[in-house]
Amino acid sequence: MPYERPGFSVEVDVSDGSCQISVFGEVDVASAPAVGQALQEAEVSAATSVVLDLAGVTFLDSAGIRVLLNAVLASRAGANKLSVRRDYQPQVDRVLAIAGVIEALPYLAVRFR
Amino acid sequence: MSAGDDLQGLLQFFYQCPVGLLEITDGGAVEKINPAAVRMLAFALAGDDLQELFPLLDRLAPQMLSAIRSEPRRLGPLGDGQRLVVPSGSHGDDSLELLAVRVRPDRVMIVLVDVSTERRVAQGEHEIVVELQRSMLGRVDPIPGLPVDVTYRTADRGLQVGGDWYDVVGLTDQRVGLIVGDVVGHNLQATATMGQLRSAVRAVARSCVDPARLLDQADGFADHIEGARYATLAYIVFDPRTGELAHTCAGHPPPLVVRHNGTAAYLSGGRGPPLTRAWCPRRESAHDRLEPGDTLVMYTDGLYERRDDPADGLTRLRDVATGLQHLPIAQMGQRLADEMLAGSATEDDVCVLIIRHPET
Repeated sequence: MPYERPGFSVEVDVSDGSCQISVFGEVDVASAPAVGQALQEAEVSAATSVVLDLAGVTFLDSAGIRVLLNAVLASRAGANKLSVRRDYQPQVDRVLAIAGVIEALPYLAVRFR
Repeated sequence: MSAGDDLQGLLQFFYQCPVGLLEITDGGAVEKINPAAVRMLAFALAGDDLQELFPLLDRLAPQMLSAIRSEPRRLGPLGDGQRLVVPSGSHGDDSLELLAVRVRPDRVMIVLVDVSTERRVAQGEHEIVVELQRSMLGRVDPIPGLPVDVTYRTADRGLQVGGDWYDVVGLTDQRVGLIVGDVVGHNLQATATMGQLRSAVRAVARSCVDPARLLDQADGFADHIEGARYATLAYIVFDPRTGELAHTCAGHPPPLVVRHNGTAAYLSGGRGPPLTRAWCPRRESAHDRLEPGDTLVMYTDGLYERRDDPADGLTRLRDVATGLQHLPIAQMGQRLADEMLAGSATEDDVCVLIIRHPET
């Protein structure tokens, strides 16, 4: 059963062999597994690229960061198809900076919007 | 079997039952009482015989008395069936559990259970867990001339276990290693993992004066200790003779330096991702210096991370710490935790380690 919480959702768009995962709301110990699952399914899917969009995330804690790190490591060990859009909100940027993970994330090279 | 036999059987049960049973009228007059109830209530009787229960109940469990009075006629458990536990007897930890049930429109049965033993056992187990955790949390080697303070708060949970730890290690060359770390999770498993990681890190710290090289080793430990991957850790090597410090963080929030002149800044540089070898990162150390009277504050994320507070928690931490830097460090640690945690449930463990470079 999908995880349900007001304001939280994970949307998966697949088109032309590429997969975009958009996350909305608070990502914490309760909701992070739903994000992890979407990332995992995309990793093993036929999609040739996976883009993670965190622009709708309003809160991210260490459980959310771990899910992100797991996905990055799985992608590195596999077909290396994950990239992360960098247009997320300032509070998310702060959390990622404090956790020292910005250098480790595979950012999407293309500029959006 | 006749109805009379049934009644005889019920009365036998009533009088022999090890649970205290006591039936009263709506006015509080005791109609029936079994020997177990007499024994359990003896401590409260003070020589009186037991004919009126209400005065005793008023002293022992006033909530129950008001439930009996305010819920007339309705059959079944009173006061939402809530069991009251009250202290009983001369031993400080003797306790009695009470439940009131209306058995007839004008009769209430009070059920009494002696729960002293269960509560003593539970309390004993709790103390063992707390003691075990305390012994695993960390150790402060005595460092001559260097004041160190550790403040530890556990999250608001039933059992006090968590994954935060600290260590103050006297190094082989008179320098001192300062560690604050945080293992994923909040349960006994997290505490066990923390204990292993902490011991391993401490063991190699003594002879390792470059913080980044210590983290290289900790990356390896994290991959081989169950549950330790992505643990976070701040490590500082401080030289009390010169005030020089070398620092590095693995996924951990940056330590704060509050200067003796009332300014404050987080240590910059030396930052990298949480512990695991999988990144193959090149860990780096950065350098800074404490002047006499400067204060170094290391901590875990429970101190500043607030979901309901959209303002930057680290800015708040810096401001609060700056306002407290005139205090001796033991008070500073307590006050910092008090003020940062005020007004919100403590969701996470909190560990704060403070040193102050002594005035010469």
